[in-house]
Amino acid sequence: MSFLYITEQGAKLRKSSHRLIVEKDGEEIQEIECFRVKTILIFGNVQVTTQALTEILNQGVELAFLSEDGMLKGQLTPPLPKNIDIRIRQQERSKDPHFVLSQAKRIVHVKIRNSLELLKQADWNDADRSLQDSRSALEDQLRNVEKCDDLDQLRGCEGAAARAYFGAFPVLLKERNLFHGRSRRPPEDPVNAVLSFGYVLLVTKLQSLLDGVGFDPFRGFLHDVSYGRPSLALDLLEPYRAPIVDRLVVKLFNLKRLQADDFEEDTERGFRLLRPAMKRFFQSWEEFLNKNAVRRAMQRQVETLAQAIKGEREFPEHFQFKAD
Amino acid sequence: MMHYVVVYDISNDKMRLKTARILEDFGDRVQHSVFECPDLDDKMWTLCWNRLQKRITLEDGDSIRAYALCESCRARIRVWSLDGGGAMENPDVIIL
Repeated sequence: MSFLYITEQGAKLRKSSHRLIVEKDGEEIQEIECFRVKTILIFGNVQVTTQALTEILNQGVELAFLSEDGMLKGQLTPPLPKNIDIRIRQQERSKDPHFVLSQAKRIVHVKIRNSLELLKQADWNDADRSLQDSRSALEDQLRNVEKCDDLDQLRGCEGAAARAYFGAFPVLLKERNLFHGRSRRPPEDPVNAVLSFGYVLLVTKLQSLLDGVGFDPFRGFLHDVSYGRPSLALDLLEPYRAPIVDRLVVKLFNLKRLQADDFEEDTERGFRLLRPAMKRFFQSWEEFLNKNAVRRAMQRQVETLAQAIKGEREFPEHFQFKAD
Repeated sequence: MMHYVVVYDISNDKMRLKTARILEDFGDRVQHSVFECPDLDDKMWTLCWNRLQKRITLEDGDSIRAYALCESCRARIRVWSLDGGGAMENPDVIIL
């Protein structure tokens, strides 16, 4: 099953019979049978004909529209029969503060654990032993999480853990000045731009999976319900941030597969990955996702979440990372 | 999932064209009346074959033949041509 990334500005996605065709300036640059396509990600100004949209919807192909700097504009969902029971159960369980808190705690626990595991990989660069403080801070928060009585306290722990983690983050990088603390909207340095990109790609996929199983992706446990924010998808993203996105981004910068001049800077929108590097990133991204069986893990996570919602198990299976 | 080689001999021009059009949705043309349709599961193969049967009318002497090849047989396919003309591999990741 193929994953199609279209970044060529001015390209057009159309159909011919049951094949999808990508054209640019009247010239065909790709043709593929629609049934062979699993997901299409469109970046920026790419036209999609209505006929192609119909074919894509009919065949259940996932289609997401993103901006050139990797912000999700929206996704296309076919009107497949959804599992209404799951949605009703989700609504019921979300009114149970015990259930919500315990699910949220579990997510934060796994997130912090995975962050700690990733920091283990930075020892080689830690001449001034600054990591030890961050590690202790994270371990403290891990203990605090268990003691939290409500979501506010829990978010406090999570925030403190995130600060400690991103404080230590530069130690993972060979070139520390590529990262000046976590920044988004806009990303203030190249590393942040790519981190955000990675997070969005994963959230998009999670949102689609959740929707497919019948969940409301906008009703989460840990993340607050907020306009336009897929809180549940963001909840499920947490375990993947460090071991998948952060780990790959660090690797790419350290291997110089991404460098400062692969980016352009805009006063309003911050740093943005230029197209040739964006394409290289997607290639590495797909390889990395495959190697770490991420899509399978997400599928499993959503399925087990459904089981947890129905009371068939306590927690979903979240991605747990072990550094080697 | 199997790799299908579909060959046809159809006298009526319109029908021959129609056959090619149907097969284009499942694979690639490798010779004038020969298509290779890689990685079709039972569902897709049935869809293809049924579509042919439904939409194509044969005359005396016409035939459509399909040969199913497993992965190891497919690996032993040999192609000789000046432009490498075999069925295109379907990459898992397409970045445009």
